[in-house]
Amino acid sequence: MSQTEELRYEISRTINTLRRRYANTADEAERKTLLDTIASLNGKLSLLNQVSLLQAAQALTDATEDVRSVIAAARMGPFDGYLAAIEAHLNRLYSLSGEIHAFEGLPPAQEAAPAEDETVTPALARPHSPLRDLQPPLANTDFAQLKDEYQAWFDACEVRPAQQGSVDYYLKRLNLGQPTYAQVGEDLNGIPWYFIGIIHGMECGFNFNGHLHNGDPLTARTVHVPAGCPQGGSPPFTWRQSASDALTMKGFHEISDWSVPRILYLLEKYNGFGYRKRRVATPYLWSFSNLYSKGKFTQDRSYDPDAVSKQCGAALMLKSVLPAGGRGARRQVSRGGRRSRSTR
Amino acid sequence: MKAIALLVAGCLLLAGCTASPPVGETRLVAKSFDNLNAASQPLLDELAVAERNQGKTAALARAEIHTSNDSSTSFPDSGRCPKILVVGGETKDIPKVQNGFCIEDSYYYSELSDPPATRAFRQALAAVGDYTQLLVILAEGRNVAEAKDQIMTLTNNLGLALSAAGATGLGPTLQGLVSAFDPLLDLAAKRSNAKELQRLVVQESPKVLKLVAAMHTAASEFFNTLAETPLARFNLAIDKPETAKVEADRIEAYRIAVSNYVVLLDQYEALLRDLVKVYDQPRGTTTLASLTERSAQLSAQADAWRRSLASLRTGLR
Repeated sequence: MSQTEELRYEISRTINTLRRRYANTADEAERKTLLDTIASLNGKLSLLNQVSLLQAAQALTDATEDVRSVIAAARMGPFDGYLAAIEAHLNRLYSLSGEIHAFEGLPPAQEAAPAEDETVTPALARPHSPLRDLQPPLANTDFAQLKDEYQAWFDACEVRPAQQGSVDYYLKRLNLGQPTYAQVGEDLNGIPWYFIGIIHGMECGFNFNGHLHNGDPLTARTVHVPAGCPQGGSPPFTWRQSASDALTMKGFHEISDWSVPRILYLLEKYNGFGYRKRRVATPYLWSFSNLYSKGKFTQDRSYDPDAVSKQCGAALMLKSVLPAGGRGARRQVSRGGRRSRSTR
Repeated sequence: MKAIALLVAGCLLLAGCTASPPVGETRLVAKSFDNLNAASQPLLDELAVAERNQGKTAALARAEIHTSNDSSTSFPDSGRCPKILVVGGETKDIPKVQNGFCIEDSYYYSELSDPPATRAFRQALAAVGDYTQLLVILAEGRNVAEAKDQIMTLTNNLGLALSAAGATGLGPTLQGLVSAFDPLLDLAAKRSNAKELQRLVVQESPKVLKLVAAMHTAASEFFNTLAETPLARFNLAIDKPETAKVEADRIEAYRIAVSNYVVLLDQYEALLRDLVKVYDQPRGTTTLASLTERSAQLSAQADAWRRSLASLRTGLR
């Protein structure tokens, strides 16, 4: 018998003795004293009961922890090994495809005027084109002059059926990164997540291991143009730190107009207005759509009218993430942008 | 094609070699847990109230020990919050009150959460329930559909990724392949489940049985706490036979309730041990008839328990 149990036993015997005495005495004063003593002993029993109960509870808690660890380690997924293997392949594929798409990313479109021997034929000027109502891109770079053109082109653009699979892939990658883009956007006065995501796709192939500035590794400051970024902090940088620096550097955190024309303008400007000088559709916005077939600046910074972009254009991604495909979205698009239904 | 045929044959062979999991026996264990749980929860609600009362009474008793400076008797745990004393109580009309706040006693005074021992009892019961539920999920294969959905999603993603890399049209092909292998996936999943069920029962059930034993041992303290207040009232009702009768009945009702809890715990333990035996002796004597009979016994016990609880609640409150 433990000490606690012995005490309880003795107290219980004492209470019995006091009860018997109470029954055999007529002295009121003694009776009151007896009841007070029994009440006090009841309190002491309580104290002892509590100690014993807590000891039992501790034994229960220890045994419960053992069972909890069994439950936590139970293998409830019958295909866990198989699923893990597929996921590993997928991650590797995503990583590889990111590298491929980043490599095939469009080089900056120089704004220099076309060479004298270069023939400039405005796209979409063909009289029998189904898009004949659409005017070729203006050579102007003033947003006020381009606003209506952006909206008209955006309304008319559609995915080429042959490219639908690739566009789906881009959208999947874009949506996968949404939480990260949204966090960065919220920290920078509500830059819409899809604007950040589209730039990430166009410039880095959605690779989160590189700087948003130019895709250089996050383990050091950027080496290529713009070099030495981010200037603050010390490497290795997180993707969020780097993205924040790149977006601030471009002044996107000061933008308040996130309408479709403004977004398209900012995106085209990000890559350069070189195509506009030639009055052709920029693949940066319109590749994989019915509004673009060929013509791009190549890695040597020259314009090749027969080269074809292998990247999905930013406008198609934008159109897919905006509600109702961005129709009638000339007005302000919601800041921080909640994820919207794809409009495949 | 030959390789695929061999693979298919291999999978079928593996799946076919697997003994069926003891679904009936596992369901019986689950049913006995349901009975135990249904019996225990209202009793644990009672325990929470009783433990709070106990905590408050014990706090006052400790403070009285500190106040009287009585070092002649050493009480376990009486050293908690030694600076808190009792003031008042000089006459019958002046109540006693503690003159300080003991943080350790907070869970006895607060009604926002269970007091500590009740919490430990509930967690223990929940752990036994979760373990039992795992066994049922594996035996019935309830996790298979979800796992197959995951496979389809990943296959779809794989198809998209490959399409983007130029392998257009592979997505639907992969999905078609997975669909064609659906029956094999089912067999593979059942085999994997049966293996994990066997491991959980044979290898891990001793830990659950140890917990059940601890719950069993704790039953006497469970009763002592439930019966504490009625017993204290009974001790003071020496010349009040009506009060003494009511309190004695209440104590006996708690005795029956806690006894039922012990019997149901034993029942659960016995059925879990039987499940272990199924693996020890796969050709044992368990038959559909014996399973049905034992299931009916469990239902009868649950009914008996409900009646006993009803008497505790309606007749004695």
